[in-house]
Amino acid sequence: MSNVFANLEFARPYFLWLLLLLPVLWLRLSDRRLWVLLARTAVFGLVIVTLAEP
Amino acid sequence: MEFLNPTGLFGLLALPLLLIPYLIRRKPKRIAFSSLLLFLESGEAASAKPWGRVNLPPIFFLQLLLLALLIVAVSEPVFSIRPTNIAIILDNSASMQALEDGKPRFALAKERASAIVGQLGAGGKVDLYLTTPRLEKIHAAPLAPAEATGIIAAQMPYDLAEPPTDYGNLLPQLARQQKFERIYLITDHPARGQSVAARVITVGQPRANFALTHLEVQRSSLVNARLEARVEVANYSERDEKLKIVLKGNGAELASREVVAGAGKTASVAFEGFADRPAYEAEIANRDALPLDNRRFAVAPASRNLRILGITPRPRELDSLKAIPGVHIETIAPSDYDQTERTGYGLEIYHFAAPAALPATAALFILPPENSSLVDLGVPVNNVTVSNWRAPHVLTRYVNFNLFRTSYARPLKPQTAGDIVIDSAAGPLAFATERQGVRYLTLGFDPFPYLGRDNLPMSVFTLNLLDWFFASRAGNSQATGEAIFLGKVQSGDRLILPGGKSLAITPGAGFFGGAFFQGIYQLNRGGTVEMYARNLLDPGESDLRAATPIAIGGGEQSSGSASLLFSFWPYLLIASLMLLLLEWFLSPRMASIKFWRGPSRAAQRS
Repeated sequence: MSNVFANLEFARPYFLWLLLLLPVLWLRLSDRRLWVLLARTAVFGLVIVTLAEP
Repeated sequence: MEFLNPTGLFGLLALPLLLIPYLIRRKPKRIAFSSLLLFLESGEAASAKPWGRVNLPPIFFLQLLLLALLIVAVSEPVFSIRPTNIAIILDNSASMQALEDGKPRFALAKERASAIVGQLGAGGKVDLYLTTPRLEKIHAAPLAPAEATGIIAAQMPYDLAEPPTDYGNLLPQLARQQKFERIYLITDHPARGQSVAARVITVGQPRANFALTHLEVQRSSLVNARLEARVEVANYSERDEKLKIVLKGNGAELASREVVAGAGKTASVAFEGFADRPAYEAEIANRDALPLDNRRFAVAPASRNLRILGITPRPRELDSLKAIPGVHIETIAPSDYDQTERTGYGLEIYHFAAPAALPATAALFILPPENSSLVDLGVPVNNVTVSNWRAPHVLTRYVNFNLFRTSYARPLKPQTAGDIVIDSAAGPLAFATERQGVRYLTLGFDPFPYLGRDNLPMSVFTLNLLDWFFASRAGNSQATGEAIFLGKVQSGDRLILPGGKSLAITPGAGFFGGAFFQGIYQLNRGGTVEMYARNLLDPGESDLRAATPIAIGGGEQSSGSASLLFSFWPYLLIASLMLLLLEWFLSPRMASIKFWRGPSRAAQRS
């Protein structure tokens, strides 16, 4: 497993800066159920990683 | 606009699933309340059904847009500009002859190629390539579209297996080197991914198929003239099939058998005692996707008479072979070798002698002199016993090596690639090799004279070696594409191809390398006719169930093609991100807004 991450590269790594937007989601922690928040965070993170072209 | 991964658009079919959360109602709960008056005014009647009336808030459309954007991004949309300098690679391997609704795949490929050429402007340039027997351009200079269409129409598939090629790397590399704006590979292999420079167009679907994978016609043995044929059939389908195999000689049916081939398995069937014909053909009578591999050809085995030329200083020892039925031997002294006409012999035995160069006919070398090109000789040894031997092998069958003794031997030191058939503690005693379809056997001991029952192990070995040479003349078929060696060509010699076309052979030509079609090739040489069978010998071409996918990476781009496409799927993903954020903050507020609902009953009453 560690080998997989050792060989991981991103064609457009600058898109990973968008991960900084993730805390914006967590601003509304009190309004939402925890699983909804986690699911949205995962979706958001996956879209950003896809943009970075691993 | 086009899509590099159009399969992703099937995801749009899943969009209606987004309605499900809006259709599901929560199960009503019973709560004690002082007065229900206000709830009756504005609320809906409680229902036990899980499904309710469609009540879509604005946030639904936002989510719909978000999902649609993500799905379209997955299908990799690109804006493309029509290329003007392209290459088309046509897969012309044997599997392209498979039928798709009665039409060969290669005809479909030609239609697709012509359509691509038709889309080019008048100033467009096309280069045409074929994949088989090797990836090669079929013309020198780039073609104008009209010219290319004519050449495409004239192409035909070969009965050849496709050479193994890594198209994933080769196509972008070819585009870069030749400065093609785009390369189209039209094949029956499925494509895994597309790239800017390389497009794979797939014709044909996976299909069930049967194939004749082996046909061998031979005589039982040197002393038995009875003909035997063994046919092997493979079933490349998911169910058992009953197949009818027909054996033909010169086009006329000789015999037929039925055989059941299990799903994905092979079955064999034997024919015996049929009429002697110059050439044979086996055929599967059942119809299937690829008719090409339902036929297989073989030439008749050589006459049961084996003419041997012995080159020996001891003719009496070789003359003992005349005791074997069917063997005709003529002996000459080594000094007369150069003056002797050596045509018409099936075997040459060099007994304590060796020619300057390897002969064109099969040859047995017995204790050759030191200057042999095949072996060097070791130190002489006496009373050698055999320590090891190849089995199963025609040369060693039925020989009792415990009783096999030779009073004098010189161990062999092979100087070329081949098989050590008999070995001893002192070194190899029998070394077999094959060059251009001609068999050579070198012995480090002398098996002659032939004594019959008086020396049974040696006599059995002698019969075996004659059978081994005899079998090499059986004319077993070779794969399409393998050269036909012509030997000494004289003016007027002709080669007749399976389709009936007759080619004049240029004197000095060593071989014919264009045997790309299955069938019988006839070499007319000085009044005699020699036949050669060529068959498709690649199960990969016959198994049409799952062709190997061609993986094309999107990373490599040719210099000319980079400006041809503008990928905007990353922008779609960025838009999706923004919408995700927007929806996250708008969702609770907008979901509470009653949308597409009429005025409340209370308001209607007032």
